[in-house]
Amino acid sequence: MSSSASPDVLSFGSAADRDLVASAAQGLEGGFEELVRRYQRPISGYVYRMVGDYEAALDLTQEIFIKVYGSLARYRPEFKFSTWIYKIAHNAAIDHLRRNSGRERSLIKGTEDDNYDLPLESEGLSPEQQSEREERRVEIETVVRSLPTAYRELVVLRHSQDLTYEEIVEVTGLPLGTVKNRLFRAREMMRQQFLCKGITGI
Amino acid sequence: MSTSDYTCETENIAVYIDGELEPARRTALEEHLKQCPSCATELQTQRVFMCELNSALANRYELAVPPNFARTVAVHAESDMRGVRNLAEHKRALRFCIILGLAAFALLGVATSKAVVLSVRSMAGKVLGVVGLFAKTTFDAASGVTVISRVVSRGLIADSRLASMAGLFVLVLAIAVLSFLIARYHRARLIE
Repeated sequence: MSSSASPDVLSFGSAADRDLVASAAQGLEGGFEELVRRYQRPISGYVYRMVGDYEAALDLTQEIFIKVYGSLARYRPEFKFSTWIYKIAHNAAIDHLRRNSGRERSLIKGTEDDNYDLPLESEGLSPEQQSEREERRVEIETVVRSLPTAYRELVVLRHSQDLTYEEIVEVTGLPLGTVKNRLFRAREMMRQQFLCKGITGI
Repeated sequence: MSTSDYTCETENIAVYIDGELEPARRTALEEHLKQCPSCATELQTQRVFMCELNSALANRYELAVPPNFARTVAVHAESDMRGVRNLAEHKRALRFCIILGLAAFALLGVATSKAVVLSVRSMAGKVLGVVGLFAKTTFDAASGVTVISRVVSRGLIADSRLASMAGLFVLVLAIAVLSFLIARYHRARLIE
């Protein structure tokens, strides 16, 4: 939480998602800002891995939160807020990819160098560990980026956003069998790519 | 499902590592793993691979967002009117618009009527002033002429009634002769 946060925002810090949604829907100042603060990184990370462009990912993230705000009245508290917001993000990312099908191709053809320029954050690691981790991370990110969108999304939702199969079904609208099968095939594709690259230990 | 029925399916191992295998199948797989070194190795390989994936794609490597991103996004969202999709909000907004429209119309009407009444009143005052002045002047002129003519006529009549009568006669005669001369002149020009 930034030091410039207002007292209203601070008071929302420990509130549950559904309470924040209720306060935002009632127009209380600070409720929606706290929701954005909680989900800005997961959503922007998910969107970035879907579209492959930092600036486009930030614009799309903002668009997603504006959609979320406009749909707050339709949110039903019996559903998990995180699943609901990922569903909106999924629809926005798919629409973006349809509008910019050229970018989709470049995402697949992306080189390893693309990952070095990203403004990523890492915490609590020594410089040596960071260097090793970074090298391995870049290798894995590159392989993930090379996957077709339908497979890449499931890998990101499962391994980056830590969603359960059931939540992935709700977000993507795919049948459970398809989710299981695509996840398995995506992992097999990645393992094959690591083998081809001569990367061992994975 | 008995352990002997179990076929080696690597997909089930992945689902098992994800913690998503149904209890009955999970028990069967665990029993099978004790007896099948190939599947046990596959489990180990997949587990390492998934740990690597989780570690590489973990949240601590999320994108860095610009400072005050949340504040900026919240302000944009809260000022974005595309969000007003609720029917009740639409109705409320429509009611407000109608009330504001009526109020504006009424205020405009009052302001207009005030302006019209004031301008008509001031213009009427000025017109009435001019008309009154003209009437007064005419009345004064007429009364002055009356007074003068009365004095003149009284003086003439007082000096000699005969002379005045003679003067009147001469005047009537002069007018008659003048008209006769004018008529004759015109007739002569027509003949020429």
